[in-house]
Amino acid sequence: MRTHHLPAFEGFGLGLRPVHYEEILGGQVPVDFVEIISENFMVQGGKPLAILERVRAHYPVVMHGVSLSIGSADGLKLDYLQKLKELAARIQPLWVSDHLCWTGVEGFNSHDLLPLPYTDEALDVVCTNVNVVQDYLGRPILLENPSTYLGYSQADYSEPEFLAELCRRAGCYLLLDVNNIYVSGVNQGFDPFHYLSAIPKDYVRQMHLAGHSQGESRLIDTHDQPVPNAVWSVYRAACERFGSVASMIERDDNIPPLNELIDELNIARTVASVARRSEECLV
Amino acid sequence: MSLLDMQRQFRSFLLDDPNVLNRYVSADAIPGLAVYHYAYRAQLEECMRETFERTWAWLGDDDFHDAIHRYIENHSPTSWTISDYGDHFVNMLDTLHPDSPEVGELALLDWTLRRAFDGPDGAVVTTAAMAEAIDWDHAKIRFVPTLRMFAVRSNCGALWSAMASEKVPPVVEYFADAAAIRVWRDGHSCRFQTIDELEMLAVNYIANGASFAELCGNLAHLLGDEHGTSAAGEFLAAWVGEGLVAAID
Repeated sequence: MRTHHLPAFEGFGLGLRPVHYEEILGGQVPVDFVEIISENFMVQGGKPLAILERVRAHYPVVMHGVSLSIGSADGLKLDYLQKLKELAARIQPLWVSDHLCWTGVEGFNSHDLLPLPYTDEALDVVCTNVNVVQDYLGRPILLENPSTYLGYSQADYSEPEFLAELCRRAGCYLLLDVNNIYVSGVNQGFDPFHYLSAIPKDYVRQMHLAGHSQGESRLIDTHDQPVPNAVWSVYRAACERFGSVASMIERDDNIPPLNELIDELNIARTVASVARRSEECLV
Repeated sequence: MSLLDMQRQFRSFLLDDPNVLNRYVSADAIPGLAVYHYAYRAQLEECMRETFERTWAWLGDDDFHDAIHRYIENHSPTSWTISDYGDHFVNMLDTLHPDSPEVGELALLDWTLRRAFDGPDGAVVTTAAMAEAIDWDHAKIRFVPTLRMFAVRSNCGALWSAMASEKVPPVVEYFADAAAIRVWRDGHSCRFQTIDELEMLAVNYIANGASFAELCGNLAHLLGDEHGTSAAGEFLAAWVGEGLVAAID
């Protein structure tokens, strides 16, 4: 394993969504970075890439993917990695992230973030795949804790234990989605605050904030609602534990006007600031 | 359990083998499994609705959803990008609607426009550049890389345009003579044009490497010397004007 160090970046950002292109391109939106869905721009040309290059001229960009399938037992898709590397070379993002999950196997791609069993074997597979990705890209990656809707009958680790061991062994970093922690916690019966305490402090480089919906029997990670109070509580605790970490609102559906997301992002700034001050008081 | 075996079984579960995962998941996992089972199909359905928007409008909700459900049950996605899903849908529609070629042709137009949207960039020859000295005896024309052309039997282009502008579509017509649609991207705008057999031949000549002089010769063979050369010139002027020509070498 080659060690890849990733400097921290503090700030507050938003996901780049087509309905906000015009305002974002104006360059005056008060965000410190913009997150893109990598796959939307892993294309040959046209409007998406032209827009992205103009956005990049105004803001730092982070790339967030959904198709890496870092947990696939049969290895990684080299054509995907090649496109990912090309986009990273073009955009020079702060970092590249994806999810701790698998999306397909043996040529099948579900296009969904499927849960991994947190076993020793899965850890070996993910560590091997992370090493391949990081060496190929020549940069460390961040992995995001997914929302999960079921548990496997066999597990050697809790999710935060798995993430901690993964970071230690593979040298990758974490994108902590506090909404996903809350959603999975409700669905699987664990305490989000206890989860946070098991995450190592030094590896978290980004946090996601989002809303969710109540399904028939599970909370669903829909990203179509404002961040609810319960998630803000987890975020505050995360800020107290991990300090100033790049944070953003992730909204993918029922997308409101940009000023509403800016207002929500300002709540994040306030929560992070309050958490930082309370930590300073404790020191 | 082997991770590879479990992932194979999960794939089978998503593809509708409901009990195959029972030995891998905890006893209370049934509702969670339903979430993944639903999400797999919902994601693909959304992709098909976005990709084949005018086909959906033409067929109506019931027929379109019957078609995409049948497609999803028979085609599992393989590419890393979901935008590749749907690449066999036209063939399936042709089979489902053998007497209504406009259905498959609308879908092919939807699909081809979608591909042009984020297809490769390229330079475009302007009308002003045509005034420069060009050795027309040896000049070769190169089309923009997004250009695609396919034969049509119906007025699917007119149907598509009417639906795109939320107008009442015209009556379906079937052409007596061969025709085609060419699709390309001009700047960031995806465009298409229904063309007759003669232009279809001309586009094919150029796309297959013929020089402009050879195009004139081929058209002269069909139309006579005078009309062949003038037709070639008119085609070229139209192609340049529409942003279809990447270079004249």
